[in-house]
Amino acid sequence: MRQYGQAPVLSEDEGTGVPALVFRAGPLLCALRLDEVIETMRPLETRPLAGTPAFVRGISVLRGVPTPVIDVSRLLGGGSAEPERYIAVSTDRGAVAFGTGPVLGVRNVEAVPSGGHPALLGGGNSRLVAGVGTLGTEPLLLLQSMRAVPDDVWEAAAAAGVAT
Amino acid sequence: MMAGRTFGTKLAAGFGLTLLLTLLMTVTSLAGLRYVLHTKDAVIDSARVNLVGAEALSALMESRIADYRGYMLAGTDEYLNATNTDRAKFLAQLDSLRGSIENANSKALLQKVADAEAVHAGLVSGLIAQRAKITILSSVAQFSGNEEVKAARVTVQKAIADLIAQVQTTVNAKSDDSSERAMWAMIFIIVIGVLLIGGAAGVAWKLSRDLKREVGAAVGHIQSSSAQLEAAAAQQAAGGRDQASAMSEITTTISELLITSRQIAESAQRVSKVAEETAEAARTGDATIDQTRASIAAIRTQVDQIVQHMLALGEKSQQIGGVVDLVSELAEQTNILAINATIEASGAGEWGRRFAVVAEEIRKLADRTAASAKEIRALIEDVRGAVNTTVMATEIGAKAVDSGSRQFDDATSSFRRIVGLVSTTSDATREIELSTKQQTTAVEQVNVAASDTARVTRETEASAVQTKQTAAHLSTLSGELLDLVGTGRH
Repeated sequence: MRQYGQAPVLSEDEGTGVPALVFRAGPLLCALRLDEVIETMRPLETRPLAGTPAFVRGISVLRGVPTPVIDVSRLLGGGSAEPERYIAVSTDRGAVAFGTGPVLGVRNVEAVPSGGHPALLGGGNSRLVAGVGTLGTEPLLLLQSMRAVPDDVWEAAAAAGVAT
Repeated sequence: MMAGRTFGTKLAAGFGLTLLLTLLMTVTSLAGLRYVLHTKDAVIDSARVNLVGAEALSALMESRIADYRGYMLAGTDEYLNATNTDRAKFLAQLDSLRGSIENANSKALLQKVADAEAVHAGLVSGLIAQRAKITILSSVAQFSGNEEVKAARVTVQKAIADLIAQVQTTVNAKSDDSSERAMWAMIFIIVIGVLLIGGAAGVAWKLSRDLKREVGAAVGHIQSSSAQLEAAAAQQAAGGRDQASAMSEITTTISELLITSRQIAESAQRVSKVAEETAEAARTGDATIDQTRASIAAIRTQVDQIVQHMLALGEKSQQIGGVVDLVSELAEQTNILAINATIEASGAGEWGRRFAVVAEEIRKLADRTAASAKEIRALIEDVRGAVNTTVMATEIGAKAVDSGSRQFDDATSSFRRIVGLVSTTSDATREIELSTKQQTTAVEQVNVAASDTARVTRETEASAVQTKQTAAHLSTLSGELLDLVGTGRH
C-alpha cells in the first residue's frame, strides 16, 4: 500500500498503469496518455501569435490544419527551450501541438491524481497536470492535454486559421 | 778696415806692407845710390878728364918745351919731330878738353891757353927756323927772341896753371856738391828707413795686438770649448758605459725575442697545418652538407605528401560524416515513425499491441542506430580534429622543415664562408709563418747588429775616454798658448 506522497513507479510491466508517451520538457520529465496523442513529428515552422500567453509559441500547420503550439517547458515553469519534437495531441476543440524535448518512448505510467498534493497540483496550471509519478529516480508529470489551451488561444488560432 | 779679415790675411797684409816698404826703401836707396854714383861719376869724370887733361896739357907743354930745347941744343930731327908730335898731342888734348869742359870760366881759360900756346908756337917756330940755320950752336945768344919765347912760355904755363886751378876749383865744387847730394840721399834713406821701421813696428804692433786679441779670444774659446769637450767626453764616456750595458740587455732581450719568434714560427706552422686539415674536413663536410640537403628535400616532399594524405583523410571523414548524418537522420525518422506506429498501434486493440511491440523494437533499433551514429559522429569529429591537428602539426613541421632548410642553407653558406675563411686563415697563417721566419732572420740580423753596436759602443766609450784626455791636453795647450800670446789664463 502506497503512502501519501509516495509516487507510483513507472513500470514496463504490462497491465500496470496507463500507456503514456514519455518525453522531456526542459528539466522536467513528462508523459501524455497515448489515447490523447495523435502523432509525434519534428518541429514545424511556427508563426508567433499575438495576444496569447507566453507559453504559446505560436501557430503551425499540421496536416493542413492550423494548430496552436504550446511550449510545455515554459507552460510548466521550467523556462523556455528550443523544442526538439512536436507532439500532436487531440483535445475537445481540435489538435494541439506540444513543443517538447526528446521523446523517450511509450511507457506504462502509474500516476497519483493531481488533486493528491496541493503543493504540486495547485496554481494556475494545475489543470494541466493530471497526476505525478516517477520514472526511475526522476519525477514524472502526467499531463492532460484538453485543459492546456485557454479559450482565447483557440479563438486567436481560429482567427489565424480563417485568415490563412 | 781690417775688421772681419782673417788673421792670416792680416798677417799677409802686414808682411806685404812691410815688404812694400822694404821694396820702397830698396828702390829709394838704389835711386839715391844711383844719384850719388852719377854725381860722383861726374866729379870723377871731371877730375879724371878735365883735371888730368889740364895736367896733361901742362905735361905736354913741358915735354914740348923740353923737346924743342933739345932741338935747340942738338938740332936733330929727332927733337924736331918730337916737338911737333908734342904740339900735335897738345892740340889734340886741347880739342879733347874743349869737348869735355862745360864750365864757362874753364872754357875761357882753355881758350886763353890755346891763344897763348898759338903765340908760343909761333915764337917757337921762329926759334926752330933759326936753329935750322945754325949748324954749330955755340951760345944761346945766337938766337933772337928768347925773351919773347920765355914770356910766351910763361904765359902759356900760367894760362895752363890757371886752367888747372880753375878745373881744380870746378872739381872741388862738384865734389862738394856731390857730397852734399850724397848726404841728402843718406838723409832721405834714413828717413825712409825710419818710416819703414815705424811702419814695420806699427804692423808688428797691430799684428801683435790682433794676435793677442783674436788669437787670445780664439784660444780662450778653444780652452772653454776644450773644457766643455772634456765634460762632454766624460758624459759621453758615462753614456757609452750605460749604453753598453743597455746594449747588453738589448742583446739578451733580442736573443729571447729570437727564441720567441722561432716558437711563434713553429706555432704558425702548426696552425697552418691545422688550418689545412680543417679545410680538408670542411671539404668533406661539404659533401655531407649536400647529402643532408637532399635528405631535407626528401623530408619536405614526404611532409607535403603527408599533408596531402591528411587533407584527403579529412575530406573522407567529412564524407563519412555526411553518411553518418544521413544514417542519423534515418534513425531519427525511424524513431519518430516507430513512436507514431506505437501510438497508432495502441488504438488498434490486441493486434495493435503486437504491432506495437514490433514498433517498439524498431524504435529501440533506431535509437541504437542513432546512438551509434552519434558515436560515429563523435569519432569522426575526433578523427577530423586529429586530422586537423595532424595537418597543422605537419604544416608546422613543413614550415619547420622549410625554416630548418633555410637555416641549413644559412648554416651551409656559413659553413662555406667558414671554409673560405679557413682557407684565408690558412693563407694568412702561411703568411704569418713566412713573416715570422723573415722576422726571425731580421731579429738575428738585429742581434748581430746589436752585438756590433755594443762593440762599437765600447769602442766609443774608449774613444770618449781618449777624447776626454785629448780635451784635457788641449785645454792645457790652450792655457800655454794663451801664455804664449800674452793674454794669460782666463
